[in-house]
Amino acid sequence: MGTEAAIDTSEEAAALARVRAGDASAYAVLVTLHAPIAKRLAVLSGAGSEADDVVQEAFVKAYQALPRFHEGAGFRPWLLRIVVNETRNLHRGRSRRTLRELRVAAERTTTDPVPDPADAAVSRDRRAGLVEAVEALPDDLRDVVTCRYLLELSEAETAGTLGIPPGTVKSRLHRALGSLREVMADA
Amino acid sequence: MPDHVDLEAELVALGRTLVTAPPRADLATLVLDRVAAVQPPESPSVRPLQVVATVPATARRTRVMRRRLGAAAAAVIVLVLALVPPVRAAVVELLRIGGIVVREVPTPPATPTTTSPTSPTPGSSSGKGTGGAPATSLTLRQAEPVIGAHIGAPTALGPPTSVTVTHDGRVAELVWGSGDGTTRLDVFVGSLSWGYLKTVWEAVTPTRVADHEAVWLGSPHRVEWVDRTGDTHSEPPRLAGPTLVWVVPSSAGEVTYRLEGATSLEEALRVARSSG
Repeated sequence: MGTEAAIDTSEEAAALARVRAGDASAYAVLVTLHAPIAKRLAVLSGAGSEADDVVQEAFVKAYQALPRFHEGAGFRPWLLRIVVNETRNLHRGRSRRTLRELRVAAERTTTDPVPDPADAAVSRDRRAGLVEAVEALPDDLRDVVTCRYLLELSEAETAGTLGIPPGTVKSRLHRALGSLREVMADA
Repeated sequence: MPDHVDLEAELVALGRTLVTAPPRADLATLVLDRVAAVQPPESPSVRPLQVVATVPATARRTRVMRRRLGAAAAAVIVLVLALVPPVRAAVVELLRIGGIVVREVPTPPATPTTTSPTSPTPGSSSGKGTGGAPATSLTLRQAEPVIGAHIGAPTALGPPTSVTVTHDGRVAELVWGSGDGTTRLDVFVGSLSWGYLKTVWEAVTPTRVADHEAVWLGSPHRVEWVDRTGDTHSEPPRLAGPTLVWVVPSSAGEVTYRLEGATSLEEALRVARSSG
């Protein structure tokens, strides 16, 4: 799927090598490569209007933590984990705002006058119901659903992003799907 | 259990309908400015856990230093192909082709008599900030970090005659040859745009380039650009010839290739398939 695929890993590796050699400007390559998914994760995780700040902060922290980044693990999940942590920091002391974000987006798409086949599988009502059901999941389940399905990360990347073992990703997905199926059956 | 599979597919479909704004265009510049202000990552003085604890973000965040290389701007843009003659509404599936949106134009634009390329001329560099910003001449390798994606240049045509970057660093424009024999390839990071009116006409032929979705636009069409805020920049309308558009996924988002100048679909596909 779209988000998975053939990044130019050689380009990423080359940029990383240059940054490590002291060429900070090469970091722009990493930023441009990964900013879109980072922003999307921040928004869907509930960063709301602060998503841009979260993303910026995450890239700065990632840069400063680069000495502890091990190649092979993949820069993207490593960065996304920082995004998740930054977003969680926002949430201290107040509630997550994902619901509102999602709703706004859902409303926008449902006003689209032309039916879209990509949406065909999800009818308007059902989609709205699904949004609510996802929102209602406990945080740990919602996080895996967000990463694995809404952002279409792989299981391994989901594990890396959330800092949990792959087995835990599997079991949480299983529980989340079970719970969602139950809610949707009642709907 | 089929229900299980359906639910997963539904969630993926749901994710694709959720609209989120692209990152701010000056993100890379802001980040570079901030990291320049602290020690380099390899400095031994960086101890674990010291990470960033620290920087009162807002103070630095507002600091914008423009001096930084222009290699920073990544922006998601949408290419709107306004088909001239619009015929009938049909399938929309094709519109999930990268940054391409096809939509109806109420009235056909004034018709230029030729399809002379109207590439902005390099040199007059005061137009930054507008959709039709002047081009900057670069090498292929230099252009990649600017638009924020790897450019798979077709080898079938040999090295491009020129490589320029237009639209505020969002679009790499490769040109081979000149005059009537000109072939051009626009490459940009473009993402799906669900918000736009979508319709497809019979002038659009679906095809594939390698494993990637593609469309062949056999009829002349007008090109206009929509920036990341959704504003349409009216460039002088250009009557484009037959065009092949294909999309290659990447971590930067989908990268859209738009090839103009091949005379037939077969020729266009031959060129497109040589890109890597």
